[in-house]
Amino acid sequence: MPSDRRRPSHLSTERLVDLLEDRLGASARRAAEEHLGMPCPSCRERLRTLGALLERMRGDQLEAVPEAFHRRAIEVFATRPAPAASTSGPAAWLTLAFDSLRDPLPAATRRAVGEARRLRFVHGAAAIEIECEPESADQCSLRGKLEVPEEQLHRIELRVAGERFDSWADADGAFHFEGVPRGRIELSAMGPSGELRAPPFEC
Amino acid sequence: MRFGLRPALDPELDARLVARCVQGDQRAWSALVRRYERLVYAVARGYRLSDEDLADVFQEVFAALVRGLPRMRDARALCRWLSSTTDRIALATALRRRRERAREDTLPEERPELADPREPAPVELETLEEQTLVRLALAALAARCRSLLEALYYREPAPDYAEISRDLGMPVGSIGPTRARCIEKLERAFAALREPGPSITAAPRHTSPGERPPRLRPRPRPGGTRSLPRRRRGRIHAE
Repeated sequence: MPSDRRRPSHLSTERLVDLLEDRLGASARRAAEEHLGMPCPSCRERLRTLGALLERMRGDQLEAVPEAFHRRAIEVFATRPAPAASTSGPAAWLTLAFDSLRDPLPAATRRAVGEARRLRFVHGAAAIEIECEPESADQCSLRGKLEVPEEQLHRIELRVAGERFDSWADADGAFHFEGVPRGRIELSAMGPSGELRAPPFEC
Repeated sequence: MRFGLRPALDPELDARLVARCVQGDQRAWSALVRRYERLVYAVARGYRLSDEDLADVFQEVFAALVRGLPRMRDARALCRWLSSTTDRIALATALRRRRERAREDTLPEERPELADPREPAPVELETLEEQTLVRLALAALAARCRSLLEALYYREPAPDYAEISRDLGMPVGSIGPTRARCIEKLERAFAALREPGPSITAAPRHTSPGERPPRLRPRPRPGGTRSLPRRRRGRIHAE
């Protein structure tokens, strides 16, 4: 007869929530804790995620919004300017203002940024700074910062090797992409006032 | 309320609401505001602004959203964009007020101590974003589950089972098992809302013949360096 120290079945959601909320009797609690202490990684992980979820609810700090605030948010839609007839107007082309391949960086800076290629494109008050760095023989990462007068979000789009990637610049205009195939990259930024395109560059 | 209308979980609801807003649908805008106004309010309140400034920041964030709607493509970005934008606008307002007060105070010794608006707030943006998503997931559950979980976890002080039994017409003995089933449903709904987001519009100008569709891998995360001090984000949750 084989030694039959069978692994008890996993703890149910009800049991785990009762444990978290201290609703178990002494023996049930001891049994649950013994199971967790076996150890049972999956029940421990489940206990952790359930605890986090319950904490999100118990710790909720999202108060009801005063009605006057709500009305103001509703009003901005009613008074919005008419949308542009088309969003596919001509794109504005950025021009290359700096390229670390063309204008080598000082040695100290180069040591700091490693093999990254740095580029800056400008168009009027708008600018995009790019830092692209090889990840491997066929992939690179690309980090950038968009500087535009508008506060609204901008979408950044990359096209390379027949593929398209997109992301959003954050509130400071920063964005980054990883795992981008190396090659000739076409980058554009789309915002409320139109599209900005950078001339293709190699990464 | 067993037979009440059940709002189905729809992870693409934001995408559809945004698309309808772009077409000028006021009701869709109202729904969008309802979904996220608590988040905007909570983030802005963290800066301890005056009521007037708080109202201005609140309105400015939604005005920025209106302007940005036509360019918005990723539904999952909405929650994060709203919290980041609110944080940025509220911080700018708080700093401006602080400078104005400093200029007005001629006698430094009489100057009241002003709270540094750049001090990390007690609640981090990511926590507020997650609380928002949990609320959205909860709203997608059947009324019975929603009422039970709201009673158990959102009511202050938390009622005991006997009180919940009276309020919801639910036997005390079934509260525990029902609570567990409802939490499992909530977990699934919450997970669905946190998964990679759908496109808000078909964006036909990006799908020229022969072109491969947008790649989901890797899904780049906006962000990186921040030039202004602001609230810390904790770990980056899966988008």
